Amino acid sequence: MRYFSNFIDSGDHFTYVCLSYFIVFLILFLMFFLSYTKTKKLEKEFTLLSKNETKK
Amino acid sequence: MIFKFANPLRFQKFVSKYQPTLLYLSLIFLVCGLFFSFFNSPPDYMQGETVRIMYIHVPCAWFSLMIYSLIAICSLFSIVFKHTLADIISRASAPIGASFTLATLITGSIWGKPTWGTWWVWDARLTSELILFFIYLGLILITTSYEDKSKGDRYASILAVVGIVNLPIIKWSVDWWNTLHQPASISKLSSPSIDQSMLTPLFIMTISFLFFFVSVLLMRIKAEIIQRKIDVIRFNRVD
Amino acid sequence: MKPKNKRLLTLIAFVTMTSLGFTILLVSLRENLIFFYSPTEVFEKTFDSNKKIRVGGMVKKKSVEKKIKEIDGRKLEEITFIITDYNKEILILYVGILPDLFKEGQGVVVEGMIKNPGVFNATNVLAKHDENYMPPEIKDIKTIKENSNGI
Repeated sequence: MRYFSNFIDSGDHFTYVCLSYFIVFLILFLMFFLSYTKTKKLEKEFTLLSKNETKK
Repeated sequence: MIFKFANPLRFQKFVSKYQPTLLYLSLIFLVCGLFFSFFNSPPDYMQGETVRIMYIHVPCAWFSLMIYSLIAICSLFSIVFKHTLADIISRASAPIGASFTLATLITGSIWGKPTWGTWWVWDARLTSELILFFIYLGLILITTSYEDKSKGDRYASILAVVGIVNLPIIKWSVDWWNTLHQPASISKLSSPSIDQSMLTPLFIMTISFLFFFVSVLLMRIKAEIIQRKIDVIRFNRVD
Repeated sequence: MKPKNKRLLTLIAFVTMTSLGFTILLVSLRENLIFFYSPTEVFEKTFDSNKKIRVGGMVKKKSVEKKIKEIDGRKLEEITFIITDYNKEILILYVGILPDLFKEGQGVVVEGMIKNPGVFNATNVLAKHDENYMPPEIKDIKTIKENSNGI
């Protein structure tokens, strides 16, 4: 806890550290989110297509 | 082992079953790593609190190189054996590698400002990492811009193979040339020059990122396989 | 020959050629790829006094002197210190703000020009930090040990 309170009180350094963590997590989250939506979209498209195929 | 997963249907089942678990594991390690990096690790004797940037900067840098190695191996495999799975893995990894490289560059820049006194310098380490980012962008651009997927894969794997020369340059740039970037701490032949209390958050974060990478990679591979199946259905229909 | 083996051979030849080419390129470009010169290299070479160069080394202990100077009505700090690579030394003159990590006995890279012989006019000072990471307490113990060994 002592480490954390010192860290919060470190002014400039606190901003730099938080900013870098925030950016990394933002980039990684975007990566995950884009992959996730892409996969879901393709899965939907595929089930739709294969349904149509079997109907014929 | 490989050929078991080379069966697309079995692979998709495998992904649906284990991909969420991997993601949860990644999150658990992330929470752990965040606890260690903010609450349970000391400031550095020189840099003070900014040393905490290391716990995400270094894993990102490792993965930027490791993912490129994976792509390079797959590309070599793809050129020689023409196995589609290798192409699919390269395609799926490139954007993840690019994001890790971008994260490395940005966190490095934010770390550089309070420690070195500058956001960016053109020293060998930083420049070669930037080149790695451009190679990743090139790979993504090539694979997405060709209508004929096999053509795109072929050109991308050639670029990936040429780009291999950049890997040793990044790794040993700090030893070959005078750079502003400090030399490696972990892979020194003697014991690592990072205190144990700082190694713990670093390794936990690395494990978290590893699980994240594998989980997203599996998801993207699955997406790529479905995409190819859709392409086949569409192609047959035109006939 | 099987097409697979042919592709493998072509690939090996290709990779060898490119890596060889890059090695030659990098070796010949060494001059441009190094970020800074050491004081010894600065003494060995002659530099144009209008060309910006970078010199890096350790800040010599007890060599840093600070003076407040007025330039254009603004109070600025004029700092002089010595950079050493434990072989040759260079006197540096710098007006401006130093980075936080600037300390005696630590690495530094300065950018500037050699105006008068023996004096380096720095326009920019970058701190270099080493590859050691440890909490302050351990550092204290280590320095105490070093000092006691020294005596």
